Amino acid sequence: MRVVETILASIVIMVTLTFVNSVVIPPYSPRYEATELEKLGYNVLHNLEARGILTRYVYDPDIAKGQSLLRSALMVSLPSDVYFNLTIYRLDEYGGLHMEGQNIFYGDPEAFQNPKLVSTVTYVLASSGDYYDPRILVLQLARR
Amino acid sequence: MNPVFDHILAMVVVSVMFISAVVILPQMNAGNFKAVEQQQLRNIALNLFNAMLLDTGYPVDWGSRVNRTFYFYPSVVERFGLASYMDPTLYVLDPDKVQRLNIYNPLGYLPYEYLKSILNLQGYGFSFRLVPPFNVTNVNGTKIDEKHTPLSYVDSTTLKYALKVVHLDGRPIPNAKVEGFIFYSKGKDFSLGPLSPTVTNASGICSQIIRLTLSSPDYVMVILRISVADVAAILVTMGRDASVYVADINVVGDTVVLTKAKNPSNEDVKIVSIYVYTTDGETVSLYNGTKDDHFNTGKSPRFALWNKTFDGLRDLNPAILIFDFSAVEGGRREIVVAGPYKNLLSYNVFEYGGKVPVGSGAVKLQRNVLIENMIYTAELWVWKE
Repeated sequence: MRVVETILASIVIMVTLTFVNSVVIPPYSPRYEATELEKLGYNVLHNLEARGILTRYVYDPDIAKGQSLLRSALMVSLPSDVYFNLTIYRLDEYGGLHMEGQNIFYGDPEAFQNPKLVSTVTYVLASSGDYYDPRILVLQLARR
Repeated sequence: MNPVFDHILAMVVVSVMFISAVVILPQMNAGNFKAVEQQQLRNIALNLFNAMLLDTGYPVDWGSRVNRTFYFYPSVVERFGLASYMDPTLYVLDPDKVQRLNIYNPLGYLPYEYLKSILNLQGYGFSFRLVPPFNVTNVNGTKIDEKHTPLSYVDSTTLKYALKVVHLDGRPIPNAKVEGFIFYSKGKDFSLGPLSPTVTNASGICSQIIRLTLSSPDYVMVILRISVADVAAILVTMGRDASVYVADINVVGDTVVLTKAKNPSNEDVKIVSIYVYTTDGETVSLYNGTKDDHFNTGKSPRFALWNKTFDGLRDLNPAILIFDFSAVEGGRREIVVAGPYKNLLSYNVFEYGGKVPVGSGAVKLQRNVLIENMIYTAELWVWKE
């Protein structure tokens, strides 16, 4: 009987070790890549704003032209293997959000299918001049 | 059953399980160990990249004139960081510090191994790159260099340039704006003028005819500023590179320093005038030489041939300095030379550090940075040696 107990105990230990090994979250996870892309996305928007490019194109009275130029600016500022999908929202006086123009998109739509691999950056521009006229930029990034 | 047989059986079973565990479990964990190692490498890379791009280092102006000299001694650097101490904005790099990573800098550079020791990176290797936002090539896709110039003469008074603007993955960029300035000389005459702005076509190609006021010039320097949605790259292209026998142009802070050329011609050279081409695409007349502004390209034992400080030069965001020299030996003639960022602030990829080993599991991080108000992608590769 003791023999059976010993064997059973050993099997239980083995199964436990295997189970723990299989359920432990491996440190390398797509979430780290998403975090990295978030930092890059914020960094690119910040640099474009620092150079005055972001404000100029987001507030361009010709929305289609401004968004086309903003797409070009993002394409050359982000690494070539990064896809993006930028949506610009305008805030009205009642706090309602309205989408400005179209989505500014580059890349393969498939890359945005897995939410774990997509990172999202929200960036706010307060105004283009003297009066408060905020735009909320939601930039989604995915690696090719 | 005989208890002895029972125990023997139990020992055999337990031994088999023990051996299996010893052999199999490490293999099962190997992936996790590798992942932990990769994550540690990623953390090291992240800390290193933050230190490089967000910290000014110490002294804060270690790339500039420390101890009143524009020669750079690596021992000056107590803490490493490339951020500009004059601009509090994040990810703005100091061009003087970035220049000290250029191993061809005649005024001194920071050796890779020395930097690793400052950063306590023994056992790790890294490679730091500055990648331009897009590529500019000859129309046939070849890299633009001294032997493959996009300039060609149509006739003695007509020059043509043709180039191609592409994304880093090779796709053409239409509607890229191309503007610039031409500087040229013939005998004792010197001329300069702006180029008409133009744009690339659907294939990313752009060509333009330039009318010259001097016939068959000896030296031609065309500086082009190519911009895509206001994100610009600057390209210097020339007929003959006179810098190899006249002087190399360097800028440290607000000081312009001329250093010995690679193959000095051993002649007396006067500085007639200096122009600045800014990163915004403007040409500014910086200085008109006096009788004292001359040097000998070869005889002088000094490495630095000439230097002068121009207060506020850095605030102009100088991309290129253009010198109109007058050489007096063998008949007076004007020579056009440009500098200093030929290996750095242009369309080339700038690289510093070790060579990324293939299959080493190197970690790559990328950030967008500003140098002299121009956008680059900074890349850092870190691996375990």
